[in-house]
Amino acid sequence: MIQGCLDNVAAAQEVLYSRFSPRMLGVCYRFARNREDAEDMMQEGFIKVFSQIHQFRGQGALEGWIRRIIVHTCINILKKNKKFSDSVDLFHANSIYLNENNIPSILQAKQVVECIRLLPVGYKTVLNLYAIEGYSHKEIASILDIEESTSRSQYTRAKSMLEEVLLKKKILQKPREKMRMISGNTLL
Amino acid sequence: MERRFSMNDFEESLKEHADDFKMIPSKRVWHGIYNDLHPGRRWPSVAMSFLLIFTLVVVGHLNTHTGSQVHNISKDYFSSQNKNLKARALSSNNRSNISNADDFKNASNTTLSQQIIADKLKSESSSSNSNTTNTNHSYIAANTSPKNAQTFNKTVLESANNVNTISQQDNKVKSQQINIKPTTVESNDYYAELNLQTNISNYNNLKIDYPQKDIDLNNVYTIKPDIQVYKSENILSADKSSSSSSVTDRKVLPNKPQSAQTKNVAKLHHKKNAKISWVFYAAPNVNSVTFSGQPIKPITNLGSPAVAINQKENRIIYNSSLGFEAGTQFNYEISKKLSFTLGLQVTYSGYKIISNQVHPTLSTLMLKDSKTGVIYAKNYLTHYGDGTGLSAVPLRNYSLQASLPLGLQYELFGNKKLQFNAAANFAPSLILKSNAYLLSSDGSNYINDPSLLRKWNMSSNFGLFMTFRSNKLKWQIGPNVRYQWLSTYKPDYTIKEHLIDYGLRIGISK
Repeated sequence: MIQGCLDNVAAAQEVLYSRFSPRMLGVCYRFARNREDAEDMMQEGFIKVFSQIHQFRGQGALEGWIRRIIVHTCINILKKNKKFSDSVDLFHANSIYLNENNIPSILQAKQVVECIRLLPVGYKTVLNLYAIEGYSHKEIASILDIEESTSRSQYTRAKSMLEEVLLKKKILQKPREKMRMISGNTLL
Repeated sequence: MERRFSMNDFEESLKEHADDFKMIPSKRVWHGIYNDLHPGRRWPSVAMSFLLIFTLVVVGHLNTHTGSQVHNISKDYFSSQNKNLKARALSSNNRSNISNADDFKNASNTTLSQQIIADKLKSESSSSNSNTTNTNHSYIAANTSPKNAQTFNKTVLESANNVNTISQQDNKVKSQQINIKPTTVESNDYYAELNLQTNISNYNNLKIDYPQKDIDLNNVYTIKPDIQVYKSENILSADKSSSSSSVTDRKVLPNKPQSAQTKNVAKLHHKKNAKISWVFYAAPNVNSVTFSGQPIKPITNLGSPAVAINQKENRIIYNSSLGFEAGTQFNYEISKKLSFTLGLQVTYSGYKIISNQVHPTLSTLMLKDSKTGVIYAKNYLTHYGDGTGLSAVPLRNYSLQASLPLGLQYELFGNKKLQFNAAANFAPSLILKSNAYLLSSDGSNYINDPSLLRKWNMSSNFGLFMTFRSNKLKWQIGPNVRYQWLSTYKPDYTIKEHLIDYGLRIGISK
């Protein structure tokens, strides 16, 4: 498949796309405002994946490599559209009222993602990068062109805000020291 | 990247839940990626667009140059008729007309094209003067004021008088043979907007022949245009009663033999144009499809019960769908009943496959290399089942084609008002856009692979229609069937698909 992608064979590219696109769209959706934006981000990300696939040397999982490209593409698009820098301000973020009633009560993974998406762009970006994508605050500061301390404080506030929403929706249960997700049979 | 493995419960749970989240992207995303990665595939559509624009420009050019064709035919005709014209000397009487003509010219509010003619004549006049000759020109203006028109009227009548003089003097210069290339200035209804109470206003056709500069003027003093005003006899007789001008002057104006010849030329031209016609048409269609060929079954261990269950009958469940075709057609009449047709047509046709949503499944297509005959397999991840599941999903297979239909049209029977025709054509077509879901070799799933679709195809239209005239327009209406000769898919895919469109064609022409 990778050899086919290196040879620019459409069928091989489609196989790779079909395999990874559902998960990558989930990643993009966490960063984006809506589904259309997420699809645009993923499209741009996959074009980069196919044009840079010769840089993949087989060290590590292909999915991790694709995911990193997709995440960087999402960040670049947010930066380009100035959506990120406009709302990264903490005071601005604090004043935003979260209408958690809008969260659809369907599958839990979807609920969690929708809760994350309710956060202000600056908060959710830091939360996505730190808690889900596994970047350090130093890396986040470098990627987003902000101070490391800003990244930390934004993450703390984002986490607090998200916990509040999850508790209200009864996705999280108290005590907070041992927060657990309620997910039916698969209790984490 | 620095990975953290010391997450607390919240972060770990968050990560796991977020990672579980998947979404199915729309087809638009893959098409966008595909088009970006394979831009070369756009060239056929770009080339077709250029061809379309070129055709429209040519059609526009042909339509707008009908008038100039009349001019050229008349010019050619008269140049053949006047190869050996005699030089005409001008009497001193003619010189007085120059001032009349110039007065008229100065007062005239000429249009641009007429100004060009005037300038040309002016240069001829100066050229003639350099050879100590005087040329008598009449200048024609469409927007002439009544006063000027009267002046012009006078000029024309005087010029006509000069024709008499010239014809008398022709005998004197008979020995001096020169060649003259006349320039024909043809004017229709020059005076329609003048509201003049003049006699000339009744003349519908005014033709003035001007001799040009390639005349040997050694022994010619003056050259004068040959003015011929064509009109019917009854108008002339009507003028006799109302005219205050000399009617006797006018009796020299009609040049009956030439008038008849001019009419013949116009008739010839009219006949030539009558053979050509343009039709614009559109046809809503109901699209259907036929399948042929056998799929290549995957090589399996027949003893396995699991495989036996998966080996389904290859059956595609589909619904007909609506489509359309539209285009323009050039008709050339070969004989009274038979016409040759050439056109440009855009066709959209397709059908709906009944499928059902399934979990992402790895599915196989067994293909046969058309050149080597080698059988090979391609694997795909698909979300669409064979339509037997519960969550039904309609999949649309379609194609948008631009084609150049080339064919014949035959008049079966009819009269001048109503005719019944049969038409057939053959059209090479370029697939501008298409989408198709192919049945997997085990018959269980539908697979989308644009690389297996043809870029070119061949089709034919067969139709019966009646033609009738309403006001100035000619209408065509009748049933039409379109059949696609080649399979929608490349030869590698052994199942052949042929689209059939049943439509009602509505055409319009002048």
